[in-house]
Amino acid sequence: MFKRFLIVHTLFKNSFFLMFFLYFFTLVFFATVLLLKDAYKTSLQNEFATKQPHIKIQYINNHISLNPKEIQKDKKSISSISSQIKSVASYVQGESFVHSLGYKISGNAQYNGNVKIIGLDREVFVYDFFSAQFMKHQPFEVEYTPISFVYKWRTQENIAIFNETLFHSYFPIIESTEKFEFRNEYGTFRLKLASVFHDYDKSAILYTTIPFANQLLHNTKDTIDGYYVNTYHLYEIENITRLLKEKLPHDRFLVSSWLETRDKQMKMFTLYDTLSVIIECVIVFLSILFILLLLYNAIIKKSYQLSVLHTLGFILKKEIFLYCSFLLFVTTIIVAISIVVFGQTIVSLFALPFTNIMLFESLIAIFFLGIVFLIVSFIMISNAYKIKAKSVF
Amino acid sequence: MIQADNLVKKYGTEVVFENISFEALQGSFTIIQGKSGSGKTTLLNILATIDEVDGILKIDGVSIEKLNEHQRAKFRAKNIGFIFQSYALIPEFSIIENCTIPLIMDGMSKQDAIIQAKKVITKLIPEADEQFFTKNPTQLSGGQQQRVSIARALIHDPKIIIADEPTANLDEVASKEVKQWLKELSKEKCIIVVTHEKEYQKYADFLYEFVDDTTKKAKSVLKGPVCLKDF
Repeated sequence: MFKRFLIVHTLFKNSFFLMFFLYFFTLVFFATVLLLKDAYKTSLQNEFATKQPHIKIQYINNHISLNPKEIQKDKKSISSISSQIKSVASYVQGESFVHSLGYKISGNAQYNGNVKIIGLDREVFVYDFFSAQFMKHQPFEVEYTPISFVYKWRTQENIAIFNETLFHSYFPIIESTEKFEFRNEYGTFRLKLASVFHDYDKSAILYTTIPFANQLLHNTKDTIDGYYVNTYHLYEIENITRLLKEKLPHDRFLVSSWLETRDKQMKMFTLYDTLSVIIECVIVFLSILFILLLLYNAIIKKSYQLSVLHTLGFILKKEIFLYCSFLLFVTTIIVAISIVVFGQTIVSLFALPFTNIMLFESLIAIFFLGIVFLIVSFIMISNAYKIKAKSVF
Repeated sequence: MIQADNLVKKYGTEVVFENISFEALQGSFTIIQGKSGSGKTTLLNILATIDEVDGILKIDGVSIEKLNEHQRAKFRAKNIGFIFQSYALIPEFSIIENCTIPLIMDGMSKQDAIIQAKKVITKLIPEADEQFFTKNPTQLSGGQQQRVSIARALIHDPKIIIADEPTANLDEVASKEVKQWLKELSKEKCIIVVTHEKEYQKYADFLYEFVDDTTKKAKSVLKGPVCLKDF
């Protein structure tokens, strides 16, 4: 058997090595694009979707004062409705008029207008403006740009976010560097917005803790308006909303979903997802087709030699296929190791989030592609052999 | 040695020949002649177990029509040696590698195969030295290539030698030499040669000839065997 492989190796080494060299790059390209696509999708979900309330459950009577036990009981009953519910956070919401204090930073226009104040009981991503540390460092200033925004969001968890866009779109339209200040002047908290936010709605939102939001809005500390529910997966929103609407008492809660108001954005997101898969499939399909044509051509080119061996009584179809499978296996393993070793680095070069699931999915895709390639190459080798390896008489 | 009865070959609706019989004995030299396109090579492919058989074909007691493609390949690798008009040496392999293919494929070690191949080549090409063995087939003359091709056909000591126009590309001297070798080999082996050359009738024992089928049922019919020598 080994001697037969040696003959196949001598006949096909050059053309097969070229072919698998190209296959290596196709696989690397495929795996990288897949990783980056998944990473980008995750980053979109992380930054613009998972931080958003997917489903809003509003008490029919707003600004309800409940004791913590009652809030916990409500949260528990909401969570128990579906295992796909990731978190339930109580909230309070309202609007507050903000005056510009005359600061002019970077030549931007100053802002006078309403700011939506949202108090949340979540610990992360919400800045507690009662914090003593903040008081010491006033005036507190955060600077961000559209590109660094995501980065800062992730590394600096305690910033307050003004960005209506987050609620309305996966694709924020913020063009300039924005600055805002918030400080305590003579014992009164004053919000100073130094410029207009060029977002989707050109309006601002301040996330903070429930007690602080209550103080700004109602001068009380313990009211809530309802709950924000987040799901593990975006595509579960519709299903869970339906369940919540069915199971929660209609006279107490009003359930609305993120999807109902942002259906257009969701469609865009789905379209992006579908298109990227289609484009990726087309590119990979064409690459594989090209490589398979090389394989076919390699066998056609050696048809005379194969015919001589066939006439002498040596049919090498099985050996060619096994040789091809061996090279395919080795190439796939090299690509898989490369992706495991360098995958995270590649993704982090684009400042995108990386998870092991992405890596696992890429590896599955590589091996799946390998199996498809193997099946098609078997058909091609058989056909090329059948057509070309004939008697040399 | 070779016994064929009721052989039929059709390409679609075209009948090349039908119900032909053929026999070749061990220790005999049989030639098949006929004009171009009469079915000589088609018959050769059947006798060489390359093409599927429609009819009865027994070689050395084995019913070839009952064997599948891989079994036929195994059978011919062991029992038949081939000599081709175009020599059919593989350009990727050296002279010695070309000759050792049948032995190595049969499981012999590379060292033993090389020793045996050198013996056979030196018998046919006395001037062959170490440098010659490592040469590429394309570096040899037509006569030398054909001699290497014959060496490859004989290397595994097959019972049958099948040759297709083995001397068509050779000059007169080389041609005579090859014919003489085939004659010599026919003392022990079954030699079947397809050829246009009438000259072969001087060397062969039996002649089969394809002639036009006057009944128009098939393209041609096989006439023979005609005994060419007095026993």
